[in-house]
Amino acid sequence: MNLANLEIEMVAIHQIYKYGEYSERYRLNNSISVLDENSLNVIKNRVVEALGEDTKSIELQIVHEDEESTFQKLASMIYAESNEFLEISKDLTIHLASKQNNSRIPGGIIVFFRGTVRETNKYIAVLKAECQEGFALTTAGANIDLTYIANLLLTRTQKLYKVAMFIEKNTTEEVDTDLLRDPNDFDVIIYDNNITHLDTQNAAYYFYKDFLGCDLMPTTRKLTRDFYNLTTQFINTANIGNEQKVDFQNSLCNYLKVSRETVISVSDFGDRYFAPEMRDSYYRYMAQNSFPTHAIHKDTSLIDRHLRKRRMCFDTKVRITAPYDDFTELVIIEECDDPGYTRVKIKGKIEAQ
Amino acid sequence: MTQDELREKFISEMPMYKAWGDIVTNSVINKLPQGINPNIFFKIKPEPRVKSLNSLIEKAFFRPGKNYIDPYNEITDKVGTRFVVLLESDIEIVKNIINNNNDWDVSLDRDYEEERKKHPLIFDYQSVHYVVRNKYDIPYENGIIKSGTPCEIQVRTLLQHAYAELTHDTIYKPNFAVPDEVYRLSARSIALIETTSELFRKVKEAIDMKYKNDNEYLNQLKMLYSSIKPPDTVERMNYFIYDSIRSICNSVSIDDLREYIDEHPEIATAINKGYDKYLLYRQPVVLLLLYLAKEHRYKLKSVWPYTMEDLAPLFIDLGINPYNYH
Repeated sequence: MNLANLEIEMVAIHQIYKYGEYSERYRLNNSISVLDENSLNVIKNRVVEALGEDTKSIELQIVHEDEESTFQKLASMIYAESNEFLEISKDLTIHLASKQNNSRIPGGIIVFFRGTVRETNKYIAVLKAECQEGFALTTAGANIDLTYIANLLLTRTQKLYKVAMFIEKNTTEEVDTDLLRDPNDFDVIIYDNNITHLDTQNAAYYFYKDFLGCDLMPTTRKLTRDFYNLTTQFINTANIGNEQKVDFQNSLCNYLKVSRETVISVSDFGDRYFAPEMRDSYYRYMAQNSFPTHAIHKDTSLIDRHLRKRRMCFDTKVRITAPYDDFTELVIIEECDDPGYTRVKIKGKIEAQ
Repeated sequence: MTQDELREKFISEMPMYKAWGDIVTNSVINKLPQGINPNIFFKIKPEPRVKSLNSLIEKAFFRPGKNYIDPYNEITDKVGTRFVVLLESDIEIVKNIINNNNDWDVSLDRDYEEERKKHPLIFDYQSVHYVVRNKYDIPYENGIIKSGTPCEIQVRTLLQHAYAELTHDTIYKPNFAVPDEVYRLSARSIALIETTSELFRKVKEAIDMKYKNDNEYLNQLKMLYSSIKPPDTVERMNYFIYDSIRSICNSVSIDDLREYIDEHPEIATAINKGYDKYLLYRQPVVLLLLYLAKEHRYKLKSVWPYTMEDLAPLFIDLGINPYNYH
């Protein structure tokens, strides 16, 4: 998402405890938080590092849009007076606490903030951050001391925070704050480390589904296919040797088929497999073809048949590639007396080299 | 004029000479061509000096070979100021300023170039000496600087100055028994200085040639930056960064860049917002960095000469995650 010139204008902070840790579930702040410039910059940095270009953030669609939905409440905070802003944020904190109904979900602080991006587009965002251990460095004269801190927050460790942002698409139209807002007027984007891994996907539901009332975009099948096709085109037209093209193509299949990550993104793939000088042109190629700069939820159902290649590598750098499903039929490994060799029988005749 | 009369007159006029020396010094400094920083151009801070009373009396009454009729008025270096520069071509700049000042009359008392022409076989003390006199009375805080008050101006290169410091108070004073060997060594020093001066000039020309294209580009970049904010350029830093990234932005002309900035208003906004906080944002080269962060960010990261923390604010302002995943 284009988050250029991100500004933060109003902030409310509350705390949520882990389920069962205390008798209370949350602790509510009774005033708007006024943060100094450095603190605001840290929040700004964390938001762009999680939701900006080159991130694993994904777009969401708004499912619940009725009067009592989190979406309507958040949207009304964009135009609310500060005391109303605070009251709604308390209400939503209680709502989130009620959805955190098992002790596997950690506690933390919840930060509501609003402001603008691209100078004119208003947004409302909600961020949940978990505490981390760490040290504070203090120096006095020649002495260096470390002071233990049990509740360090919002370091660059991305596993420890999640953030969602609702950005108004339209910047000119007057908004009638008495009416319910139309979900189509908003872009919704989220970063949650749990969403990006198959193993932890379920742990993300309470936040983006139960609390925010959103769901993954239905267009991800098509976008996953576009990702595959465009990246394949890029590899084929790149100014590199054929062998490397084969390697990259295999990497693409692995990335889509084998990886346990549930999201894919241009920058993630580029970072993993391409040398720096290729990354910029890959990134531009994808951008020119209108592929999003954020991450996409992976759904390979439209390209499964393309991903059916299997590769075999030998310690002498010999490689054999064949269609994944017919591999055992096409490539047959036979017994061999010489321990330094492998005997392979391949179905077919040499066509090109 | 007796010693007493001279003493009395000079003591009463010392503040006037001091004031005249200040005016002459400052008017030269202030008329340096635009873009020349006096703190860098002058290798020794120019400070006018009024002759000491004893030194004046010595020169007027006791110096052999000086048979003054009216010593007070004939001695023209009662106040003097000195400009020490790096290259002989710099001396020309100062000479031009002195010659083109309409507020004073100028007489060139000594010019090493003329002396070289006149005595091609001699290698002697080299300096440019002027005496300037104000054409009109000039008021100053303690009264009036009378028209015709002299001030001596010396203009030298650092090398010439070094030689003068070494010898001036000794071998050029009459009746000082100088061994022939010292004259010979001095002449050799001067010859070497003249040779070195010429080599300096060649070095300077070679450097100028090399940086001419860069300088043109960087000046245009500065103008482009001025359309957003007044640049506060630290030349060394600006150039060092440019030199580090030039290999990845060779094909970007200033016109391309201007167009790109017009199409991406977030760049000007970022500069306006970061201007007060970050030195980097006040350097014209930040325009190239912002362009590269958007279009060639991986290459930019790989050639960036400082830490990522210094570059990260640019990425954040453009809404781009500055850090790689892996």
